Amino acid sequence: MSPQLELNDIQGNTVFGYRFPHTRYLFIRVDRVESGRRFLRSILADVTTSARWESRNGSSGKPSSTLNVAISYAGFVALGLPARSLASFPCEYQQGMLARATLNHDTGCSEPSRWDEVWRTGAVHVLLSIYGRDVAALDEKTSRIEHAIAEFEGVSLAGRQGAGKLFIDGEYTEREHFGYRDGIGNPDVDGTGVAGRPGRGKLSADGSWLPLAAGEFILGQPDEAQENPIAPVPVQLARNGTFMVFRKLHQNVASFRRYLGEQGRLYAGGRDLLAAKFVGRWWDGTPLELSPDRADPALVGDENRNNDFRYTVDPEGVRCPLSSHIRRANPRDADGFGGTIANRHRIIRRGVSYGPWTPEGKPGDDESEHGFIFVALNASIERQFEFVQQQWMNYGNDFLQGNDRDLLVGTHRPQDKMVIQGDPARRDVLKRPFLCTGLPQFVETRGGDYFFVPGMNALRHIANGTVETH
Amino acid sequence: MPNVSGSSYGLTVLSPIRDERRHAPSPPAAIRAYLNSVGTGKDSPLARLAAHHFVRFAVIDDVFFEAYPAHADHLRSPYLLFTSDFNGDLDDYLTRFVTAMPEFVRGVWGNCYGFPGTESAPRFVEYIKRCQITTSLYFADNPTTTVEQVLKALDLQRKMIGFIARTQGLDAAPLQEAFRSFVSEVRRASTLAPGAD
Repeated sequence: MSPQLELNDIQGNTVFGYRFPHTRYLFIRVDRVESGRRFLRSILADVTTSARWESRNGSSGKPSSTLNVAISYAGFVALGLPARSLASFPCEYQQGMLARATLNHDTGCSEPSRWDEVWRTGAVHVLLSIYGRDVAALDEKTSRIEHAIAEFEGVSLAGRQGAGKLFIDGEYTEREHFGYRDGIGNPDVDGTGVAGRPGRGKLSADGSWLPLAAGEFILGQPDEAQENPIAPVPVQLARNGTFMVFRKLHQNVASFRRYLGEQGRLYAGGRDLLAAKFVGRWWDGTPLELSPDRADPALVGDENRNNDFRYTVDPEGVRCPLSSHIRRANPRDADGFGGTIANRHRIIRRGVSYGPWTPEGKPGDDESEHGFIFVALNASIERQFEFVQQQWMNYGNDFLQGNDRDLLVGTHRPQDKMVIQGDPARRDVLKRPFLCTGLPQFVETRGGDYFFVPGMNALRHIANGTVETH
Repeated sequence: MPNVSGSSYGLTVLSPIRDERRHAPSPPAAIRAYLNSVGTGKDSPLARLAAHHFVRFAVIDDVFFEAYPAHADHLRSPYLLFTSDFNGDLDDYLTRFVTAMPEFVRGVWGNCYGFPGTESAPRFVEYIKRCQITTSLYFADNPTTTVEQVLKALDLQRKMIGFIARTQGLDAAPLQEAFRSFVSEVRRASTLAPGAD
């Protein structure tokens, strides 16, 4: 199946995810237009695309590290993008994530006054993402970039953020700090040339799964509404680009383990089932809808089965609670209209944990630097990420849960709760609903912003200062 | 049936606003400023009455003809729109309205033609009815439940959640005892106030 998308022009870690254990983000500040452009020109050859790595002569073709570039609105101003292009970017991107903190429920413990300084001051103009097979590879690329920065007065390194897969019991894992296996539900995108897998795209009328229209994620392609999504001008700037949401999410590991421990003792189904009810998957990623009583390693290990389910078979939330994290993040067919509503609010997630893992059985702490760098890619930040954040994570009406928020990532008020629906077919205590009240704040925002990930051709024009509008 | 759906009444009122633009602030601006200044939530004057589900005010400056060919088609004055979804009889509601919040009524309607002031409730009722227009296609969000019933239900729901959270681990005997005292407490207790969080 040959791809229709120009994978050579789309930056990497978008339609296909990287699988490296180590990540480093460098935050670049640009104070002079010409220096910023020369800096970008100097790293252009190192930027990784979505082209597949071809194995030849026995080696896999996979590089030891990758480099990708994302630019904030303030960054485009600093790089001297023409005024007409600047004005054509969507409103939410122009404002940036800090200005929209109230809309995104980044309030209380998550409010901007508590963010890392580099994010509070809007200093991140260019976000460089480096992935590497080991720390030496990260260091090598970092040092090349630092040399490039040093060459140009008017470009500086405002900060950095390390991240990487959690190393647990001797191996790199796909787990995050609360202990859940993450990253199973990313959408299949049409036109990549790679066959889709059940459950990741959209539901068709005959019950099969199809990849989502590329325009939901990549500008210049038709989207699920059969339109070319609104995009900045000129076409050459927007084509093959995407918008990135970058959020540093601190995780209160101790509060989570303590709360799960206390509630797990009260809940008749036990601690592990309760943990599964919070998210909609068991610790190992087995979906509750397919396996409501136990984790199933064979099922979760099979990519063609581990995401193949729908919710209309469970309208009362008996297997997977109506308020669980994955049901909120992607309601699939539960919203009616055959799932077409959910198709317009999907995101590609390319996040990575940061900070060291707290071993099982330890209480952990809330203060250490550990959490999750949440990265989402979408054609429209407002329609996709922000919609999910506002309507599905921090509100419950679409799930018949009133004002209740997502237990893990919602911004909780004292009266908030999660209802775990009971099973009317049972005769024991699990017939009744179980209420989780007194919810601590498990996740706190510590910074982030909205970025644009230009296509390669666009990036060349940006670096050369040749973006033209008429 | 116009204006009514179940136990809900959909009142629509258009009151012409004095059009003395040489005054500063102009009457429409004064009404807007006043509406922006009143308390919200439980501090709203409207929260003094538990009779209305939803009340809305809007100042309509003029209408604009947007099709082709352009021609002038103007209102003779700006208008104040007042809509209310309430339970009960219209005359009774309007009487209770002006009695509960006379200063608010003066602040809102004081700049409107023909407003008789708030000293005589029957004259206020008659004035509003003269400005009333028929709500011909009325869809009531809550046709069978009064505001009081909704507030009581919300209060009971909140208390029930607290009860479940406190007792969900208990054995049968202590659970039954806790439930009995919960029921008698709820029977005695009051309801939520309008405008509460």
